[in-house]
Amino acid sequence: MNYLKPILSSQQILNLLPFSYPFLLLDQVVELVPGKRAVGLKNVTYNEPYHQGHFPEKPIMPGVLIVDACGQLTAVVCRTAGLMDGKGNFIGSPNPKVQKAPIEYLAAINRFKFVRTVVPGDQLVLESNIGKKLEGLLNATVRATVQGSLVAEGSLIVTIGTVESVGT
Amino acid sequence: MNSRMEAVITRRREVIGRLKQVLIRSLDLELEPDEIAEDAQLFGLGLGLDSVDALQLVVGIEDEYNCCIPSDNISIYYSVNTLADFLLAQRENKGDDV
Repeated sequence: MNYLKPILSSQQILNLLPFSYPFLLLDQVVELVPGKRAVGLKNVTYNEPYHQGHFPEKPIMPGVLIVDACGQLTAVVCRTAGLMDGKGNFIGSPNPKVQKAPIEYLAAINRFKFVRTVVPGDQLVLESNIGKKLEGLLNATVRATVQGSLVAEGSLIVTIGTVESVGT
Repeated sequence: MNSRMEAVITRRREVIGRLKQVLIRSLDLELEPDEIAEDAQLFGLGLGLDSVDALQLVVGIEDEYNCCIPSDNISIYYSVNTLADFLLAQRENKGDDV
């Protein structure tokens, strides 16, 4: 699939999310329905530091980082919910310091499977679909593909709102 | 006992049985269905589930019954019985098979 014009560039994503180097795992957002779903891209390159050790003779992107990249895309979907109009224009400030949006924490990783390895040179196409919300938590179904082939899929539960602990 | 009453009781038993399966499956509980008391509190003192479990359970139930459980009425989730009451009432309204 050829994405010609991103909806959100890496700079806009940096302004929107609380992440920064060395932990921003999303390069562009190419499809976005604020509050509902998004498709994003992450280019995998040898130059990322974890490839030195994972593994020395065979660089592979760690599965948990694929999960986190999906989580970051989910955060984009959540944060744009109130901030964007239907045409991809920001109608509020995307800056997290101005927004004061609480950070979305990962609360659960469910039924995740990793089907293929992801290697330098791959472009991860990430998808996130927001599902049910309940009591400060949100369920999202996520998947990652490379050139149309599934590499990982599962679902995540993330916190929305000021939640420090999810136990009752 | 007339046959209509029997039908109601059988249906409720089926719903409860299926609900307990969903509960065990969605939350990976190491319990048999008959170890889950129908009136026991699901959250807090009874089964001790937390809010993440709550959401996982709701997603499991919605997938199983292809329905939508409202997020604003917490009392539905009090116990297996209250969930069964809700699902049976939904069925009455929609005429679907629960």
